[in-house]
Amino acid sequence: MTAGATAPLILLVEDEWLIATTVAEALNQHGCEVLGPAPTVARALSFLEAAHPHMAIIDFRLARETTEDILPVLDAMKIPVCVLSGYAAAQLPTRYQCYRFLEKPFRMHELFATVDELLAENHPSSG
Amino acid sequence: MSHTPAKPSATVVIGIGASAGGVEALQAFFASDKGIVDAGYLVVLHMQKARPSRLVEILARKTSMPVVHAEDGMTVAPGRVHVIEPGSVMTVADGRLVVTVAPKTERSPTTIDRLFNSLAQDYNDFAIGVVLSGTGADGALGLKAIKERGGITFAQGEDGSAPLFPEMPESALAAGVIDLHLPVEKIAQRLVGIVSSMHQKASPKTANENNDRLCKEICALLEVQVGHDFSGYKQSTFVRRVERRMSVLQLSTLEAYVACLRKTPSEVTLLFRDLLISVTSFFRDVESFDLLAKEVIPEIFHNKKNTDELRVWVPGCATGEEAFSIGMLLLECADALGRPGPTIRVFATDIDESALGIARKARYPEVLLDGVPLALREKYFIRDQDHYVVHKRLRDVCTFSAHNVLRDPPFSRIDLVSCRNLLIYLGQEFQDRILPILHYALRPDGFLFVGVAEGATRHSQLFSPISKKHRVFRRLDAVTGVLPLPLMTASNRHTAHRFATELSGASSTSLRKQIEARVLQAYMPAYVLINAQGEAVFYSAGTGRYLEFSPGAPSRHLLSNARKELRLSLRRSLHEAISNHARVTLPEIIVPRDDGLRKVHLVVEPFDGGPTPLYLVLFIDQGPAALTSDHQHSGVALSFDDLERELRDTRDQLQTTYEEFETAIEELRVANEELMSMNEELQSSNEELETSKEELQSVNEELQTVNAEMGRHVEALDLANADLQGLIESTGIATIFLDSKLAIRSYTQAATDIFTLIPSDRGRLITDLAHQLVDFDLERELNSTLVQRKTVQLSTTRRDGRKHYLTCLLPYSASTGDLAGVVMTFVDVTALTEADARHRVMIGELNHRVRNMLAVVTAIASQTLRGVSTTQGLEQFLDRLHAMARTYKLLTEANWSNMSLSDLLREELGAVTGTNRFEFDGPIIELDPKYSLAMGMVFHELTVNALKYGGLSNERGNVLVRWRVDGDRDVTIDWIESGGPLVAEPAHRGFGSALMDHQIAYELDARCDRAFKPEGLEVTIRFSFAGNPP
Repeated sequence: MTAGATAPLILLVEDEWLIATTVAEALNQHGCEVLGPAPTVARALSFLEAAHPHMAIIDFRLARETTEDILPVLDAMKIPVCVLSGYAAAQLPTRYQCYRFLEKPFRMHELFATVDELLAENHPSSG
Repeated sequence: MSHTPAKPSATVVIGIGASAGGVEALQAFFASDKGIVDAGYLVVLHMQKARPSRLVEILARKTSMPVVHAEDGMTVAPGRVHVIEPGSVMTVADGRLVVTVAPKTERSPTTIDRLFNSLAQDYNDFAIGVVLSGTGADGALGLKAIKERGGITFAQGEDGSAPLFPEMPESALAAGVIDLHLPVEKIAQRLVGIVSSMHQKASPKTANENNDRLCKEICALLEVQVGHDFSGYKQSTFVRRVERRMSVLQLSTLEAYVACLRKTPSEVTLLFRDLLISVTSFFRDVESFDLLAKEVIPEIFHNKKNTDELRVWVPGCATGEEAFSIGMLLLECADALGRPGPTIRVFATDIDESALGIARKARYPEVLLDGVPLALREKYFIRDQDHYVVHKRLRDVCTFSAHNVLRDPPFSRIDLVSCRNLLIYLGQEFQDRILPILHYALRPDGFLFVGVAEGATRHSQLFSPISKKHRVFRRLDAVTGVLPLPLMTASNRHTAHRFATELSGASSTSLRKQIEARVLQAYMPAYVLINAQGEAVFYSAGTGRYLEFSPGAPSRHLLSNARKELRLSLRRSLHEAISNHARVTLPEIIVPRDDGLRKVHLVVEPFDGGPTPLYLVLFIDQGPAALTSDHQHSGVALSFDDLERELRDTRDQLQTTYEEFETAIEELRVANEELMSMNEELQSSNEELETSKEELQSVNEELQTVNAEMGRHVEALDLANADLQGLIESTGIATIFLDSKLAIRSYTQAATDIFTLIPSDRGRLITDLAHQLVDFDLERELNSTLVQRKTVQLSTTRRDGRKHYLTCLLPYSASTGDLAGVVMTFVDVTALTEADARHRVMIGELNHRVRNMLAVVTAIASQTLRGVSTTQGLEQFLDRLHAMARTYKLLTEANWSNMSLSDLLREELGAVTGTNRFEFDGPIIELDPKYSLAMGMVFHELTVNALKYGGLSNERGNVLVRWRVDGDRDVTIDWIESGGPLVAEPAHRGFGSALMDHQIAYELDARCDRAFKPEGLEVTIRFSFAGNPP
């Protein structure tokens, strides 16, 4: 990832603080700016009202809810999505089947590769 | 028609008809019928259309024979009961059932008549008809048809289990067509013998010559007893009738029957009536009717102008066939007249109302119309399936009314009396009384038409025969007899008759009696027997010398008939004898006669021996009186004494007469008053009747409304019942319905997996049955359901372990609030239970894996980082992992449900410190797994900190953890350390405190405040169960 005019903004939705902090720090080091992290759907939606991220990394299951309600907003804003989950891909609802998927636990370089790919596919100019 | 049916099997068929109250009677019938295997049963019950009937099931419970719904084309199988469907008509043709839809227009049902009619046509003398309880008259004509063709007929009798509604059997009785009138149980018993004798009859006959001889003997017996010669009858008809009687009496041989005839005269009469049964059919004795049509009726018409009325009287009309036959002939003749004819009226009377009811309906089964010529049938009848309805024109001619020939005043000015059915039922004495009445009723030159068995020949002074063979007579005008009108009191007739028979009887015995009779005749004084009113009851021979008829209306009063010479003396002595009830003698009364004056000795004496006082008046001739000058010149030279005596006598007479007159006047007055008061009483009872009639009317209307409503409710119930039945049959849930005594009411098929149930177990106690469930004390559970009136729910497993049930015992109440019963349901939850078990295994495995994973991570980390990182860093890392593992352990133990805050604290503090220098104070708070994990990490960091720097770092200090809940969801936890070394706020904050602050802030939205007080650290954590209270 080369440093562009502006660092890509990535929305992070994750309820575990340890994971959220770790991923956020890693993304910062990778040259990205993190929107969030958000532990709940409500928080994520309020972030989306304030900014338009280049992509979103979202967990499937949050403490008391799933991220399913965020998906329509993200789709409407044409934001590419990467799903993180401890569940296997096949166990997720069909609604999630169209997104890129990273199974927990994952290595950071896997995450970076996915982030770079998605940004390149959807925002060639900023890549 | 042939009388031996060409059937594949000569099956005997028993037709049973019933209406209201019939279900009970049928049940009783089949309960006592032990099954006649070689007869087919056809059951017709009047049922409401379009309502499914349970009769088949009801009867099937009572009999061992198969009971089926009658279907079109079904063979009438022996030993099977065929039951009519509601709204259909069942008949038989060629041994097969014909089932059609009942016509809608019928006012009163005729399904029984139709069945019986077809049985008569199809089975002839192998048909049996039974009429049980019911209203209306259906079945009567059908039975007549059966009897006509030689079958046997039954009606349910009054004694024993009487019919609930006797009207229908009584109508059949009234029509005179019942062979056996028995209680329903006895009918079933008698059928056994009758059917077997019918089967014998079907087998070939033996010894024809012998039978001929016996038939002749029967004819002789009949001739002796009833005076009718049957030897001219067709042999086959005769034998068939005799066989019928034999069947009824259950006699198998002609010999036995002849013996029975000899012994019981009443049987002779019954056979006689059976032989004449068809007299009541249409145009029976065609030749006689021909004569009537060709000679008699035209003559009657000939004498009538069109303004006249042609009147015919049919006494004893029974069910009306005779009246209609004559009506048809009259109408035919009127049509042939070619000019407006007289008004025709046929008065048909009978004493029996129910027979008249049938006649008034004017609707006859086809069998009974055999005698009607085709042309007449088409003209005067309207065909309605297998019945014929009399055309309105003919029906209007005939008037049916209840009338007793012997008791009620007769009709008058009648042109033709047809009395072909009445006299066979009456004895000679009554016949003798009726014929004068009929004579009275007829116009001069009127005609009398009587039946085979009745003869007017003995009354040749009343009627002269036109045809002796056909028994048509013409009324004779010159008649001297006294009409014994029904107005006469019974006792008078009776006494007179008794005397006549006694006297005539005495003259015909022994020689001595003959001589005595001769002497009496020659020398007996003339006498008259009178009653207390002075009316003659009996005259002896030779009274003519003393009596003479007075001019004017004829009278039976002795005084008005006595010679005037006798009158005074007679009056006096009668009066004396009657008032004193003693013998009175008047000597030597001079009576002039052709041969000169005679002396007569007059005696009046009471005659005891009858129910009413009678007096014998004797005229004893004392020889010629001396021809005195007094007498020769009577009225001129009577002696003074004589005159005086006569005057005295006359005065006495006058006095007596006057007194009698007074008494009579008084009596009349009293009688008048009585009549007046009676009239008033009648008036008031009439009014009362009127009122009650109106009341009844309204009650009836109300009942009709209620009935209609009931009908609707029954329909709704039927529907609901059908739904329920469907549900029970289709549901896969094992369900058993118990009544309040725990007896089985019904169950679903699935229940047989659990209880060994067969249909006959209905009504047994459920607790008597074995069940297939493990550890299930059915009796105890049921009892607790019953006692507590509460639903019991529990999981059960079948003995073989293959099935699991969610068992539910539900008490339910009747509308009265009483316990109606218990519903037991067993929902098959085998799949659920198995899935649950698998689930548990998997969760256990996963829990194990998670903690194992943490152990592996710990191991990998310590191996990998040893020497690379600082020992302290590694230890911290491992401690944190262990803290997490402990919380996981607690959560696993709590099955990943909520766990209490104190448990979490105790685990962490206890495990790490190895001391008990801590205290907890607070209510029970349950934390869900998310909170537990986060708070577990927080408590770990706090504990480690306390061990290193705080309250637990020396030997004295301790930790107090205190918490409270505000308003259900706001939780405040205070961590208070004391007794430790003096603490100061650290210069920088490590990962531990960051984790503490940020994690719970991020994940739980919690706030963490620290206060570094000299006595120790105080941490306050506040969070809220956001919308999700513990």
